[in-house]
Amino acid sequence: MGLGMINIIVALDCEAKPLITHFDLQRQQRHAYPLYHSANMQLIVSGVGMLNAATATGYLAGLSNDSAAWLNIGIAGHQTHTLGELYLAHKISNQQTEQSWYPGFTFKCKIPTAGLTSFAEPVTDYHDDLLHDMEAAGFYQAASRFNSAEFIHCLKIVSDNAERGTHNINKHMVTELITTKLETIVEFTNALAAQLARWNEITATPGIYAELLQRWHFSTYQQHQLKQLVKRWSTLHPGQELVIAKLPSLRNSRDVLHYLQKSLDIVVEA
Amino acid sequence: MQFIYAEEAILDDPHTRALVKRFEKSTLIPIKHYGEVFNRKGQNFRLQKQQPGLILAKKHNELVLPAPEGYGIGGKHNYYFSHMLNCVYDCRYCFLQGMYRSANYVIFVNFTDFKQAILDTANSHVGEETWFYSGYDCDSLAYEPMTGFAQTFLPVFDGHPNAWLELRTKSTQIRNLLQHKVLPNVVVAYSFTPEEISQRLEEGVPSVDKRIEAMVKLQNKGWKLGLRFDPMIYHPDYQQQYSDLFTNIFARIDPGSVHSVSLGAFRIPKGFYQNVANLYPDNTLFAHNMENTAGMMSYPLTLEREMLDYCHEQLLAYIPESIFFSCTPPGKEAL
Repeated sequence: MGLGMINIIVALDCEAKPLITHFDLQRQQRHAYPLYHSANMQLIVSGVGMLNAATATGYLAGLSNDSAAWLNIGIAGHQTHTLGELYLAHKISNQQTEQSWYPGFTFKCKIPTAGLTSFAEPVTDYHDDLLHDMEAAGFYQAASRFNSAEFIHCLKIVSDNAERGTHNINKHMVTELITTKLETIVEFTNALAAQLARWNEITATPGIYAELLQRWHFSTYQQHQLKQLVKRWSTLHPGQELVIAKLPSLRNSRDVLHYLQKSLDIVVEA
Repeated sequence: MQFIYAEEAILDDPHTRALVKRFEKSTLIPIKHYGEVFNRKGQNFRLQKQQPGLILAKKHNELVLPAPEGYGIGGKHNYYFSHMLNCVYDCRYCFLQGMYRSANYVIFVNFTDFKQAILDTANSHVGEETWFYSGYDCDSLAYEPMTGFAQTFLPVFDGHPNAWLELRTKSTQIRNLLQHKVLPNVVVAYSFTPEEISQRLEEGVPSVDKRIEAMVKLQNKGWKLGLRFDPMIYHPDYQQQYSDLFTNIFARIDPGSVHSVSLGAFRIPKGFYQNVANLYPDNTLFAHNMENTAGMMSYPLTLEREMLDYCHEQLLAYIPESIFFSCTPPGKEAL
């Protein structure tokens, strides 16, 4: 397993543009959505709305089995916040269903946070002290199936407020808003990627697992058992490698599992 | 504390206000019910433990619950109550990390309701020794400066001689106890593992020496003390480690001030065990083979018996059998 993927969902091409340029993402052809990628990042342009964001998220998840962190980046309105300010959502709500989600914040981050509500239609009548958008709730609900809340976040830049409404928004403005905050977005993305990498390292399955699968046939259930045993063996024998050549002559998968199981007994020294 | 999630219904509660004021730099997020944050699926307990948030809520029912089997020190009736969920410490063997989806701290601010529930329960067993254990879902004293829990609940037991309180803790936050009049029906019970184990497995916990120091202060004031060697953690040198631990404790703690000593082997329900093993695949504690007895994972029976017998014998050099209690899990009594 690699260090993990950062999956970014944006609604609009103009939101995607500065991210594609900065992260040097390459267009992938023949996909249902505009899709861009690098070795450790995928970006999908979903289109406007929660349903689009959710389906694009699911589509992206289906492309890879690798553990990934998820980011929805885009613009949002707020009654009073200044245009161009960047926020992390600490609560994401669906205005229609009243469901809410709470991202997990497990590392220090200087980006201010705000509550975010997703609406089915563009909003001109701002509610309470909340960011307003049209995608985040759909994205978050979908992404929650693929990783824990600590690896799923929404970054929103204020594009409209009570003083300057949505009618002022255009493509160039949106691209400019994202570009202005690119450094902070990249910093956050890097921190999230680092946390994912650490977690993937902790939970990685040792390489011997694949080797053992090639050498003997294991049923699906046995594969699960084998994975757990190999991980536990590695934990109890730090710095050592389980080498097939050094294993006693084992005839089949059952022998392998039994051998590993026995090797995990606690040794009581006299 | 970056975030405080508070139920809308208790935003005006004085405890809520005090805690919010205490953490004035935290972002306050109103919620409808603590479960929507605490109980939701898709949370990583281990990662959350790096930076837990605080959830303030009201507990509506089951404020006082019967204590699990084996969790008792001789009382006729045994109950536990949890004003707080999750512990500020991070002990690797703790069942909480396998039981809860979230590492956020939950504080139930309706202390008044808890106190009434305790009184009602005690009054239903008039004349019979009834124990109330705090410290099941959290450390009883570690968050005392924030919650004033002990300060608030001690008066409940004043004047109710049949109601006993155990404050189980690893904390040195004993100021409120030292300032309060000593109650004969309250036991401050300290949990210990040997120092080497504590350093390896008990993140954030005061050292063994610091805990003993706190016990000495309580002892000098006149508080009854408890010693809880539960769970016992295996190490190839466990005999020397536990022997040294007991020597260290009883060099400074007068056995006469000890109300009870309990001993229990490491054990954790199978479902919780699997959760913790998945969260900490890199920790040796969950990598060794363990035995499943009636749904409880523990060391192999022969090893467990050996450890219990050894430590029991060592303890009897300092305390009488009458104050010794073994925490035997259900299903193992006859083994």
